[in-house]
Amino acid sequence: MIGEQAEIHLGINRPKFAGVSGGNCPITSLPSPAYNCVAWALGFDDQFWWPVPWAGGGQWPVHLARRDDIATFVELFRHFGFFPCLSTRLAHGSELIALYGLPLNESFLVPNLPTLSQTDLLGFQFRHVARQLPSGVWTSKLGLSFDMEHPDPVSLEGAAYGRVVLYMARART
Amino acid sequence: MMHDRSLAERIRRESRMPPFLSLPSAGARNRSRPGDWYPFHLSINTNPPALQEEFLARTQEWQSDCQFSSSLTDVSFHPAYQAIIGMGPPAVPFILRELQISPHWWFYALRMITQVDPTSNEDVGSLERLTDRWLAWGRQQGWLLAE
Repeated sequence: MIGEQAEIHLGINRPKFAGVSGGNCPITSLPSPAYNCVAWALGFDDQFWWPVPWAGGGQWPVHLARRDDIATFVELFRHFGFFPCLSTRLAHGSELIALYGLPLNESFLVPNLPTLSQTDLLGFQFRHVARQLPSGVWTSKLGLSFDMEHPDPVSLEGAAYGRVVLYMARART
Repeated sequence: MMHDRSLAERIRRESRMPPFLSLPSAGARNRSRPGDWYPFHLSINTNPPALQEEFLARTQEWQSDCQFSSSLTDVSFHPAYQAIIGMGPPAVPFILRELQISPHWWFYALRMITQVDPTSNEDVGSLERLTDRWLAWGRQQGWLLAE
């Protein structure tokens, strides 16, 4: 499975990942429910991060709200040294992540990236986060399934994860 | 079509239920005491194979629908997962066996059905540690064979 193209393993979910095509999205791990995209973006492969409060739920900092809007996840990534940025290009020595979301309200008028306010971020449900590798290629953990590489963040936009709402960066350690 | 065939094969393969999957006998059910985690005499469904068939079908539906979601909210509130919770205590041995074979996020269902929580704060977010805690609880309760 590792090394194969992700598009052939999306099964019935393939229409939700219209951008995963063209033979440039290789699978880089076996499926595992032990970690999710949030953990993977933070560099972990043995933890599950999610803001649910019930027993056996995911990791979450105690001082953060337990909500699944983008604004709350921005605070999570701030906690780990990331800050919002506009650039989609990898600056030397920095680590870039892309946060994806779906509007909570169908009629929500989605503003352009540079003009997003805190209130706008509350209007998106967090769905996914991808991380850029030093090579410039992006890596994503697809939920409870496998990791894969993709050439750009837009490849994963679609019905499953929505659209890229915000980019964040931190100094690479 | 392929899903149906593999599910049917799995049901056939697992229809010879190992001892740890057997539900307690009628006698054991009648001997339940206050303080037992579940009063077996209240059990309604007494047909484990039918129950197992429903459990496996719901499990397959749940895992197929949720495989690309990172959200434990999606996972825990999926209709098939909720239906398994709705099966009540008779689903617990099936869940524990599934957890033993292939660890997954069954902990919310186990917590909701059994109303107990054998985990600690240090286990949060770790599929491996949460699985170990619940399997140890299953052995303690007699649902799984001791190692």
